[in-house]
Amino acid sequence: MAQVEAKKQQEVKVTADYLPATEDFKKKYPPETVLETIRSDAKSFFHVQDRQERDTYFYYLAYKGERVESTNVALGELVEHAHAAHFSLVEQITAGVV
Amino acid sequence: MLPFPPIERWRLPEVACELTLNAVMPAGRRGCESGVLWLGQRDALSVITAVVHPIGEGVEETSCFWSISPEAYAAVSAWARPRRLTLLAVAHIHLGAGRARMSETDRKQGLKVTDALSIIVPRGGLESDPSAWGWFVFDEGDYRELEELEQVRRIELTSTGEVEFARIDTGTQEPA
Repeated sequence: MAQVEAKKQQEVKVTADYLPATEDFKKKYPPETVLETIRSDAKSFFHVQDRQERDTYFYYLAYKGERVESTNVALGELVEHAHAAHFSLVEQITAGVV
Repeated sequence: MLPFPPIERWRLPEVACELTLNAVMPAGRRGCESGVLWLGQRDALSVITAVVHPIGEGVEETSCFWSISPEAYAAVSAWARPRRLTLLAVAHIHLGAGRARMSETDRKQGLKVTDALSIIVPRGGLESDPSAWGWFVFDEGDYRELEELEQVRRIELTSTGEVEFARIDTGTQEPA
């Protein structure tokens, strides 16, 4: 029981918003979770997927305003000792005549 | 429950169109493309209540395309979140004078969310009549043009309604 409690305390409460969506993605993760898992879960929640067309279209996690480039990093490494972390799922939008 | 409630109609205050033109025309005069994001509360009737013009680092305005980086997008998200606003539409200019058509870039590199609108303002933003703009909706995996009758039925242009305008500088993540 005490071990379960300790594990729960170690988990990081993750939330992620996506600008067109009305709800946030919310899930708890152990700190050793790699960020790619969170990116993938958030994409599933928001029903979006990376695409390889003429150009690559990629959804990033942004943390404190900066895109997270290395998604093989552990969540705990990014947020250090925080028990909660908020991300935004973001994309690059391009419009043009060509 | 899906985080994207279906949209039946959009209520669009005319002032949002005016704010859009004011924001994009300077780039159009320079021979560059530009655009803004229309935000509001997403619902069966979605009301546009904010026009956001991202500027600064991460925004590219060129003669061929307009682009906002993930960081610029994140800056808009950070501004919108406490206001409980969602992204409803991307309005951007094309420099040509012909009928507004979606380019390959508009289709492939634009927002991919059901019922998202993509609005094309021709003539570099000089076309002030919204009925002459191109109105496209993302539906079943691609954008399609709203036919005239559907446009009348689903886009409610109103002379009333307050719209907030924000020029968000990506570098500072604050309204400029």
